[in-house]
Amino acid sequence: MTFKEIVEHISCEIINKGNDFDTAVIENVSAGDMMSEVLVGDEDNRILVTALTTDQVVRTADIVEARGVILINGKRPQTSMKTLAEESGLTLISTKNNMFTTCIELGKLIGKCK
Amino acid sequence: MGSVNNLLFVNDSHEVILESIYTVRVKEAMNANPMRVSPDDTMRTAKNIMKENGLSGLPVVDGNRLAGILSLYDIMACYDNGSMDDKVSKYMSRDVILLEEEMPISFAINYFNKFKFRRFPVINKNKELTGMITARDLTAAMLNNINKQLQKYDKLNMRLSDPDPADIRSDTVIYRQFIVHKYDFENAGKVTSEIKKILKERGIKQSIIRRVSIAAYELEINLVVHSDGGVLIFQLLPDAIMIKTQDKGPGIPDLEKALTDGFSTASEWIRSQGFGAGMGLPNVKRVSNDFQISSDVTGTEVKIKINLGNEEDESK
Repeated sequence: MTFKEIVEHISCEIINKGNDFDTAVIENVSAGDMMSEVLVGDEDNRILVTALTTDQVVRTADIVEARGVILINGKRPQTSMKTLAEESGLTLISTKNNMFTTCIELGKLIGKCK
Repeated sequence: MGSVNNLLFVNDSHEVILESIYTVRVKEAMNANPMRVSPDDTMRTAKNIMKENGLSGLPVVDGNRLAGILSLYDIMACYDNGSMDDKVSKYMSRDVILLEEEMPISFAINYFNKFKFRRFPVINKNKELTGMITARDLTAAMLNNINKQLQKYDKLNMRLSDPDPADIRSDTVIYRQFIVHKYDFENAGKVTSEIKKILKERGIKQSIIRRVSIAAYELEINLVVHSDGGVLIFQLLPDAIMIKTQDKGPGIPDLEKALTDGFSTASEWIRSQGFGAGMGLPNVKRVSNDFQISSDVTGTEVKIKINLGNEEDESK
């Protein structure tokens, strides 16, 4: 799954185009608002799905080498979060969909969910 | 952020002084067992004691009870109008302003502001004289207390410039210390980013970097969320990475629970910041080859080690 596919299939807005926006291949999804839960997983090439809009999401994404972050429920990043995403070259997307719908759509795209 | 920190510092300083005024008791500031005379002593005896000890006032004690106070003015009055063989009781002031030893020194400060006297007798619950207090005693006690408190406050900061030799191994390649402040969510994670950068520059394997980052980040967040602030020490050794955090309290009441997945003492507010899932310490333990923790009310210390370059370790 690429960012291009995500943007095509999921109603969303790109807030920041990361360094690897055109090249990244996303294979996994971590969804949740608790950053420690995100840190539990070992999967590579992840995208984070969260309703949390703080800097810590970007920092957590950086630690697990996530390819990007999708904010759900139409959440907008806090200014400092947006700035940090720009500085880190991390893709940041916002969707009006809720967590469940977003995960299903992403699952379909990855092909893990029919 | 600098300005916010400064503001906190000013507030803290203020509190240190206020705390001294309200917590240091007169008993701790006073001069205990002061020189004294009895009402039946002669004025000559009193004058000699004052002269020999460089005192400008003396308490007059009858048995154990404070009967009055004798000042240099009383000695002068005696020179002018009477004989040095007269009894102290004839000249002493009976109307004495007293302090009690259990009072906070805020009372003493008030008295010095309110009355012109340069010293006050101090009595205990049984109304027995136990000391004398001067403005100088007060200043000394306050400075002493403020010093002690500041030392306590600065203890961690001082470690920054003065690392504990026991913490440094002789083969340490890189040694870094970072201060982490309580509830400083704005900067939480910066230490981890710094460590990550160091490891990347050194060409450390990505899988190791991730494990170190997870441990460093969880420990850093713990300092921000749960402690009163502390220090994170990072060491790169030829064969391993060591991270140690030390905080200023309040300590973990139940270590076993804290190491259990999902157990959390975090408030709703902390959870709204994305923390407090109860996975912090278990996460640190999971990525570490060696994990040690100790905690009491004075603080918590966590020491972890992540080995470099061993494939088996990486698969953890």
